[in-house]
Formats: sequence, structure tokens, C-alpha cells
Amino acid sequence: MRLASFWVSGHEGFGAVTDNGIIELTGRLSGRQQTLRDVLEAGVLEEAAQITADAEVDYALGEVEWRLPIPDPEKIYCVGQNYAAHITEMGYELPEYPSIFARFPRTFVPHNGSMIMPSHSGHFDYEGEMTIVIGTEARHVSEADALDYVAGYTVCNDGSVRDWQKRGPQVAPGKNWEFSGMLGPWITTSDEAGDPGNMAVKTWVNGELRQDGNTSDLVFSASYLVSYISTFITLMPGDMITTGSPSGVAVAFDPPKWLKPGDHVEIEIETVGKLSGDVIEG
Amino acid sequence: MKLISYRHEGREAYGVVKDGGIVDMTARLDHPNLKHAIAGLSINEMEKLAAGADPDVGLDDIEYMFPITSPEKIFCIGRNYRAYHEVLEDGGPKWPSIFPRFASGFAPHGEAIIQPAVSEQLDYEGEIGVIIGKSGRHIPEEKALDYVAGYTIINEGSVRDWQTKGTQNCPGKNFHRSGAIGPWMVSRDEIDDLDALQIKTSVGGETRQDGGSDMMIFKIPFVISHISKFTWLEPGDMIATGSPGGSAIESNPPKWLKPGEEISINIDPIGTLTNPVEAE
Repeated sequence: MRLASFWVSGHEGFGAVTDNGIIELTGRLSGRQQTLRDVLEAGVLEEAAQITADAEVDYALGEVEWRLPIPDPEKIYCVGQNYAAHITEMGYELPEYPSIFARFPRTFVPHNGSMIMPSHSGHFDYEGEMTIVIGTEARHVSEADALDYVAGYTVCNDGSVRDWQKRGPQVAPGKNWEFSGMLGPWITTSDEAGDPGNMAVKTWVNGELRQDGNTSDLVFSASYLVSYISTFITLMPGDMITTGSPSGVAVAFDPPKWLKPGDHVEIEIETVGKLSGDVIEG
Repeated sequence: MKLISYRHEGREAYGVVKDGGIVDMTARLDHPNLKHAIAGLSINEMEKLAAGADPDVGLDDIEYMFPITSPEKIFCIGRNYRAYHEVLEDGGPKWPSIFPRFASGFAPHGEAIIQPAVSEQLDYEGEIGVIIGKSGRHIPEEKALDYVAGYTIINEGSVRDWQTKGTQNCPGKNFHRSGAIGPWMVSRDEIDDLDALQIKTSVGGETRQDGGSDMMIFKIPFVISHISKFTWLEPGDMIATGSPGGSAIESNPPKWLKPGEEISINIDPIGTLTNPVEAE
């Protein structure tokens, strides 16, 4: 099942995405859940699947305005430098621990949204990433059990402002620019998305393939990351962990291929979905 | 004026602290919570309403909540105090160290800070917390304080060995209930001189930190202006502005927080934030 949040006919809603269109699920489950995060919290994905199986589509795909799959997650953690080939090509050694940092939701635009070119920097970069969406509250979960706490996966552009990442010892300023990343278009549930350790991740800018990796190359796997982060904080339904980006980011080219206003960015993760967005002037 | 969010008989409320009690504003204003009330610039209105009223509930009868119960963003500034008489080489750092924290990394006033099962290295950092009162982006430094609703106390508690796992300090700064925020906020008019605040942290009655805000490297107006270059600051957002010397890690051997201890951070005229420490 593919689950999305959207605006349609003047209201906020959520539903299941099929090839023919969208089945609205807002208020249709027995618990009358109004948001996708509420559905995850209530643990009623199976009921959503049953309703979806027998329902007609309510909207064509082009009829909705996409929102972030979970518009108000409590936490989003990102992992840096997590693809082995990318790390070694940059001349670094494989890390002993993951590099983890936080982003606030307002730094992302939804599918088909417009990222804003940072006004104080020209060093605007993309990072196509596979993103884990937590389904069940998780604290101190083992690596073996970790995927039981995952509802599904989405696609992320962990968009980065490279010069601001280096202002001070922490990357947060360069990773928290307003509307500098993308998240969506939907959550593909674990049963349909398949093995998070074998997903192709591709990024195109204006149709040119820039990143072409596979999560099989992750130094720290999805299950490791859920387990590791749950050591220090309780992961809540709707929380997201975006798992790092393969080689081919703008800064790695000589000269760097920075994003600029008018650019079109697409990121596709096999079995999850394809996320698109534009860059506009700040 | 001191503004507080609290729970009383199972109900969440906010109000003005007065005469050892609270004048409940939830019943007197349309705003559902303090974040909305400060965003609606209702601080003057709250002052007027409180002036003519007796406390509705005593401070001993409530459960404290974070002054802003669900902030959208919390940014922290690291390494932002120099020691007295210290001359910073090369003029000091060029840029502040900035990192986010989520609310679940903190406990409210009076509730336990948790010493994690996986580490003994729980440390404290007494800090002035800035609470934003008005939306702003690209805020000039000279106008920055116009965007402040008031100030609170933050214990930016840190698990030191987990700060250095990986290139980012985030894991060590995001442990469940490893810090604290509270007990309330004071409106910005209560503080005349932001450079004249004294941060005093004591553990089990022993003074550990006693530093003046005049030693801040990146001052509050600069920090607000700098953060607003990359993101909108919204009402209820908080900025923890860094801690003076005297953290546990600076003692030899380090005086890590231990279960059973009590930590108090006093910043006059804001108040005192007190929390017991419990093992996970």
C-alpha cells in the first residue's frame, strides 16, 4: 500500500495511492483518524488496507496537492556519509559510528513542491535518499527486531547548503534551510517496498542522471539505524530516519554542479516511488 | 511577569505566576496555550488580567510543563562562553556551533532527568533559553530582541561519550529526558541587561557553575539574526544560548550526574530549575 497526505477540495486529507488514482481514507477508518500519523499511532494499517481493497478511487493523481507524507512528524533524523563506495572515493575510512543529525520538517517541500534557492549561498546541493518511516513506538529495540517497528519507506532529498554546513562544527545550519529539501511523494508500506537493504536510489537533475546507488552499499543498514537511534531516544510513529546519499552529489563534481533556480530534481527509489521538485529563486 | 504552563487536576493550563500561585489565563483568554498567547502578543493583556486577580491555584498543587509545551524548533548553541580573563586566540570562533534538539530530550521542572543505561557520562549545562514571540526571517541584529517573548532556563544535558560517536554531537544531545526546561518563562521586560545575568548551577548543594552572561561569545541578538538567515523563527521556538564553565566533564575525575542527586540551575530574575536524577 502507498499512503499519502494531501490537500484536496479545500481540505487536508490522507489516503491510499493506486495507479488509477487516490482513495481517500480521512475519517473512513473505524477510529475516524484524521491524519496518517494518527493511523500509524493507532496501529490500524491493516484496516486501511482492507478498506482500500474494496474501494473506488476518489481523485485522479493530478487532482491533489501533495503534502509531506507525515506533515508533522515529531522527529526527523538524518545520517551522513553512509554509502561505502562514496566514502572511499572521497578518501575517507569507513566510520565506526553513524553520523546523525536532526532536521525540522519545515526544511522540506512535498512532492511537486518548489525548493527555495538559499538567499545567502550559491552552494545548494541535492542528496537522494531512502527514508525509513517508523510505525510503532521503539526504544532499545534490537537490530534483529528493528524492522518490525518500521511502517514503510519514503524518498528524501536531504538538500544541503554546503558552505553553511561548515559554519561551526555542526552541520545543522547547512541542513536546516527553509524549504531546501524534498520528502515524499508517499509512504510505501514495508510489505510492498521489500528489502530496505536492496533498493536502487537514482537522482536526476534536469534529466541528467547524477546519483545511481543501491542501499545494499549502506555502511549502517536500516535495521542498525533504528536500533542505534532507539538507544538514545524513543522513536515515535511517524518519525523518520533518512539513511544517507550515494555518490554523485553536486559538490563532488569539478566544478561543482550546484542547483540553481529553474532546475528540476527527481529522485527515484525502486519499489518506493519517485519524488520530484523544482528550485525557485529565494 | 512570569508565565507558566502546567497541569492541574488532569487539565492542561497556562497562566501568570503571582504570590506563590497562578492566575489561570486559560479561562480568561481565547488562546488554547501559552504559545498562542505570546504569538497573539497578549503579554500586556495577561499582565492586566493578572493584576486584578487572585491566584486560582497554588504552585505546590500543580505539575509543571515546559513553558512552551510543544515548540516547533529548539536550537542550541555550543561552546559559547569564554572563561574570565581568557583571551581567545584569533579572536575566537568565526561561527557559532548550532544544533537542534527535540522536546523529548528534556524533562519539565520537578521531574526526573534520566541517567541512561548505556552511559555514565550524563552532564549538565545551565543555559539561558530564549523564547521567540513573533515570526521572523532575515531579522537584523539590531531588531532581534523585538522578536523575543521572554526567557527561560534550560539544562542542555549531554551524554558526553555519545557526543563523539560519529562526526555530529546529535546522539549525545538527544538522549531521552537528559535535560530540562523551566520552571516558567519571564517576559522580556523583566531583564534590563542581557549581559548581566548570572548562571548558577548546583548539584546536591555544591556550586558547579557560576558564570556571567557577559562572557557569551555570540550574543543573543547575533544568534537570533544568524539562525533567521536559514529558517523562519516562529512563536514558541527556543534557543539554548550556551553554558559557562563548570560542567561535570571539566572536573578531574569528572563529576557525572548520578541517580539520587538533585540539580538546580538558578538565573536571577528568571528563577530556579530543579530536577532529581534517576537511573533509566
